[in-house]
Amino acid sequence: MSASEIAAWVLVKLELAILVYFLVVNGWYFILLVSASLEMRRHALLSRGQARWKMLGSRVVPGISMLAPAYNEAATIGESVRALLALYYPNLEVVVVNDGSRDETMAVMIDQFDLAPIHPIFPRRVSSAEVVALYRSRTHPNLVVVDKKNGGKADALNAGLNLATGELVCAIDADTLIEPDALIRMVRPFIDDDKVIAAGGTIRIANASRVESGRIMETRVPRRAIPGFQVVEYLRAFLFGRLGWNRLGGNLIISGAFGLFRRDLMLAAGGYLHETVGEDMELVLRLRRIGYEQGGAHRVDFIPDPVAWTEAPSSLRVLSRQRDRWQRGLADVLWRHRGLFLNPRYGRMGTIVYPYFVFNEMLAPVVEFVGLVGVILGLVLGAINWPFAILFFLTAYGLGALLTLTALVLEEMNFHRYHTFGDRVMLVVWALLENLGYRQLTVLWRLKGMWNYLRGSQQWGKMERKGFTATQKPRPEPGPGADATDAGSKVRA
Amino acid sequence: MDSIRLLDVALVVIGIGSATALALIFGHAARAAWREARARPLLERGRVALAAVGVSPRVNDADVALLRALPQRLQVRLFVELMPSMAGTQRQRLAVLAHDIGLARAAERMCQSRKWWKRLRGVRLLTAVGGGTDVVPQLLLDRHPAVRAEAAEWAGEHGSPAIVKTLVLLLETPDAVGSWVLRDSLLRIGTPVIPALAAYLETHSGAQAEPALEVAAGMAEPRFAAAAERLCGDPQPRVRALAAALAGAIGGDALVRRLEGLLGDPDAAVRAAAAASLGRLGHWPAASILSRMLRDPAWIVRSQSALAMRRLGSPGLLMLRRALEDPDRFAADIARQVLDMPETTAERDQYR
Repeated sequence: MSASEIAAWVLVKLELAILVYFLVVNGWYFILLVSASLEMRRHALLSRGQARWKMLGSRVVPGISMLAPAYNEAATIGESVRALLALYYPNLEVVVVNDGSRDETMAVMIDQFDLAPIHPIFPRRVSSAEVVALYRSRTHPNLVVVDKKNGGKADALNAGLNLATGELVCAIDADTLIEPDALIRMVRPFIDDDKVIAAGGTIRIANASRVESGRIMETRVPRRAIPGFQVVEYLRAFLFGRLGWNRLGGNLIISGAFGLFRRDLMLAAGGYLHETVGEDMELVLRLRRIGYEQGGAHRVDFIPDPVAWTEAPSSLRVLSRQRDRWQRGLADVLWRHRGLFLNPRYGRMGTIVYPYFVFNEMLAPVVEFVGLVGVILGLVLGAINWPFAILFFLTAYGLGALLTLTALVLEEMNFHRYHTFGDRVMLVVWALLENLGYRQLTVLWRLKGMWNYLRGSQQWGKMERKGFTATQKPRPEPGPGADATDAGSKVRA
Repeated sequence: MDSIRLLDVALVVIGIGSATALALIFGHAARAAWREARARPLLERGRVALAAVGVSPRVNDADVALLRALPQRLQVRLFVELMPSMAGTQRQRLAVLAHDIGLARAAERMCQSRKWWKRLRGVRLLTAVGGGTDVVPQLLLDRHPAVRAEAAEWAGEHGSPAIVKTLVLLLETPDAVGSWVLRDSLLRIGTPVIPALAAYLETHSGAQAEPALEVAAGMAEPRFAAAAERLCGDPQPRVRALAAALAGAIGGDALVRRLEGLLGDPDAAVRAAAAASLGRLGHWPAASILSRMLRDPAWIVRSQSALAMRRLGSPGLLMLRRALEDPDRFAADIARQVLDMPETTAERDQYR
């Protein structure tokens, strides 16, 4: 056997292995799709005609503490906090954590909410950087502001957790726009079932939508490619990925931009972990793991209609940093909890969900990259014939596009948030184009993330956002370790 | 060759799937837009007619005929839209109208369906438009949890003795309908619940008493006093804490003495609840004992004691100011914090 024959043989076997991987992954996607459709139907039947307004007058709803970390948000903090205080919920506390901002964030809050300094003592149940001052609002009795030294998003959330008094804690980013009735919808799983420990809602992209006073007034699909691709990517991840997991063993991820947790369990688990960039996923995994180990509650629900809106990166440079960080976070969290892998002690989380995240999420960019290189080499060496390669590429592309189109069907039939014909056409266009270049770029960024993780990088990466309205000043870039402004892993699946 | 044929087939399937998805996206959007355009004028006329029936004591037959002629989905939409804003006579008129145009009867038929989601829809409609006393009570024991919960919500507006009895008995197994729905409905019914709830509290203790204590605390009724006093001695700390909260809602010498005794309870949550209750009652003679609680090792007890002292007014504030000089740093700190608090905030925290 000559060297080229051996290489050809290896390439053929490699391609066969990748074909098997491709079939398994797409088989899983099909199962998730069926599960998501069933779950969506169940959700629609359960929520149709539900009179949520009754909850507003109830004296026995669980208290919710909103934890909003803020870093250099002077331009928008007033509007953001006012929008939080105006959410429809009868027993709401807002805890804003100023994570060592270097701009006027604190001064703006003191001025706009008539904050009174109070003696800064509180039970330090979870660790956080030093709290410099504590304030309560004279005009809004349910607003607490924590001024602390910079320590990052997880640290800021821990500081807020120490001050929170609600039975439930809602972790958000200060720049997340939450729909007014989202909490009323999101709290439902907790009051219906004691076994629920956390719940997540859908995150949507607000780029190009019209925002006024911290509310989305008109939803639009971005005409620019980078945010446009992310719109369909988020829809697919939330309406098909996360919803599908509700039936198959529960979710491992609740977005850092909008998630509701039981406070007692968070405190018992020690709050957010500082040493990871995937702190939101790590917390969910740890809470579920503890639940299984102690025979307690461990259910995590995803509710498709409580919606929070966020601004997606609009440049490739920023997007690449974000995806790099998400991949590092994913790899880090899966490694920290490697004891779950195929461990029947953790039920379906250990035997189904965790292995899925290892093979379909963490290793996917590696396999895709190897497959792509293998195909090119195989074609060059003549080990793979052109018609097969072209058909295989078309099938892979078609399956990807079909999956996204199915998510758009779920969106249209259940929520139809995008009203115009032009917006629907744009959604379809982004769904069809996403696999031609954009997806390959994300594979490269994720590979880079894997590489950086193996090198031990814990950098958050600078995030830049333009703000929701044209009148707002662009936000300054946070410094190293200053991560409170970013949404964390909003979408991974 | 076989693998190529397989890929060919896969491509055809993907093509059909994609075409179907596109047809569903645009077809559904077009259908929804068409239906909405058709419904809009009907809904406008329906709204005017419905509002006229609600406001005027005389029913105009033309209005009723117009509403009767509407498709059922639009009738439902109009009633669900308007009913939550109506109360008293206007609400009653609309309930009669819902009956007259056959909407209530249709909802009752849905309640008898074999499909759970139809039963659920039926109860929801009856909750909105009124009626259903013959069919909904039996759904409190339905096999589907969502239907049971919805029936309990409906029951919150229909507090007949039989329904109250059933709801109170469900307190033994609150998970059957959802603890929140059950407690909320009982609180909505209000006074008619008191005799059955008092009887329940007399005979139950431990975990079974927990939801009942929460409901009772929201009613502040002296008939619960005996049960509150007894349950302040329950072996379970959570029950003692809830009983302390109930005692704080009722008051009276015996319960105040019991609350003062609970300040020495081994469980911090119970001590905190007792302190909060003494503050809520405004029992100023307790100021000195509460000031000692500022040195408690548990944060929650120190915090609630300080807030309770502030609630007591002058005697409590005096003791709080004295506590600023307390050699115990924790006592001085919590006193400082509560004295710093803006008034509105302190008042709000008093009830937590």
